[in-house]
Amino acid sequence: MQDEQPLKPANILNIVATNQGKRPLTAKLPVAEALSPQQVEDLIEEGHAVVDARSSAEFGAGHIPRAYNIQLSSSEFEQRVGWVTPDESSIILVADSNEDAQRCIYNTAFIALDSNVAGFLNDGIDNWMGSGKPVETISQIDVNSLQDRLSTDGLQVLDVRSDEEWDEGHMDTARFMTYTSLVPQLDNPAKIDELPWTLDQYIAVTCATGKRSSTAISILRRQGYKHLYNVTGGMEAWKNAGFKLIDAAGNICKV
Amino acid sequence: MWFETLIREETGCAAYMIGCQRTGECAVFDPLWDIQPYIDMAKEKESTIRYIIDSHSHADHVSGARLLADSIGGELILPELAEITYEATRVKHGDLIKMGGVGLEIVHVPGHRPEQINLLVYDYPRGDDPWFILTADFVMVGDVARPDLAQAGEEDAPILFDTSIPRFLDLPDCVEVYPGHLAGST
Repeated sequence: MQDEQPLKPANILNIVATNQGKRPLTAKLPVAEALSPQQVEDLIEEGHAVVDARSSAEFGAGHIPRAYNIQLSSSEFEQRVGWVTPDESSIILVADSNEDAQRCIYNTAFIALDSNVAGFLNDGIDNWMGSGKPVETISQIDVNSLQDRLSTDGLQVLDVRSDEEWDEGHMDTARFMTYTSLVPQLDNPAKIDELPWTLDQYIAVTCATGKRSSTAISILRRQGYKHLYNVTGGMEAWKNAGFKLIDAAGNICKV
Repeated sequence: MWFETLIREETGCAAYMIGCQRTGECAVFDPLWDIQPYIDMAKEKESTIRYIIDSHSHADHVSGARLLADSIGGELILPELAEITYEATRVKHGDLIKMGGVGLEIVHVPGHRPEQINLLVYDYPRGDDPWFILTADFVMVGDVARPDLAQAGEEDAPILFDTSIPRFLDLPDCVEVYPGHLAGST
């Protein structure tokens, strides 16, 4: 029965300890350090994790290699940071603006994750790119192109939404694995190993609107998957385009 | 009496403020880390925050109770059984906090956490029966406490069903219920 419950915050013991007075309580709005591209690169070398809080489209257009994409616009931003980044790892933020970076830090303070934030990339990704540092990109695919390619070149689909969303309607050829299951710390060993594909497989990843799928892609990328596509607009777009959906029982959903 | 719900939309966490217009006092129940909304609300109501109450040592968010007490000087109140390292007034089942025509009765509801308390709220000019209960992480929309979150689930499930739920069910039928979460997980 506990398996059906919503996911716990990742750092739950730290939150309780903070509230019991056994861990420091952040009293003022935490201000993180503005870091130069060189400082960010050095900290990544030391094992810091990068959380890119921009939209999936912006992330796809160019990001720091191995960064996690967790959008500040998500209602669960700080929870997702906790779930996705390794426990106790130091975090460097990349955001649209320095103000957005501060908003990220503000949000993390609500669950005692602010102490993990080492700083943010000053002036965002343009600063990184302008200094000649390497970037990675993620291809975006719209639902019409996806529909075409499913029948022509064997593109595989991974759906990373929740069980309930999957049961309500999904693509008949899609594989299902909720994005949080891809993270090693939540499910050790990670279920990611159960995916049936080689690292060379071409895979389109989808969720409801394209946010969690981009997060999932950033996790899969770190595991070595080379050819990943983010489905823009996700299953909402798929549904609105009038493409076929099936429910948990395998019946075609009437829209 | 006045009563306000303050929700952080991102997480669905609800804090509550209750005050007595006559005495200009109010209480805050389960404030979140950013305490500004409570200070603003007290100002809007022309009230002084007199009591700051945490239902338990929360596992899903950082409490703003100590910050609020340090900032505005209200009395910090925690359950008798809370394992805390800082100073606070401790309350137990049946204790009553009064602010003018308002009464806040402590109801101990172990399960989610062993120390968890609820507030049963009376508006005496309105009548002698309680008006509503603030259930924190004990009773939520369509569900009861998760004993598996901040401790091993099996240990505290029996006390949840044997002690806490009967206490809740014994309340008069007309008592309104205000949970500490409107969405997501506790």
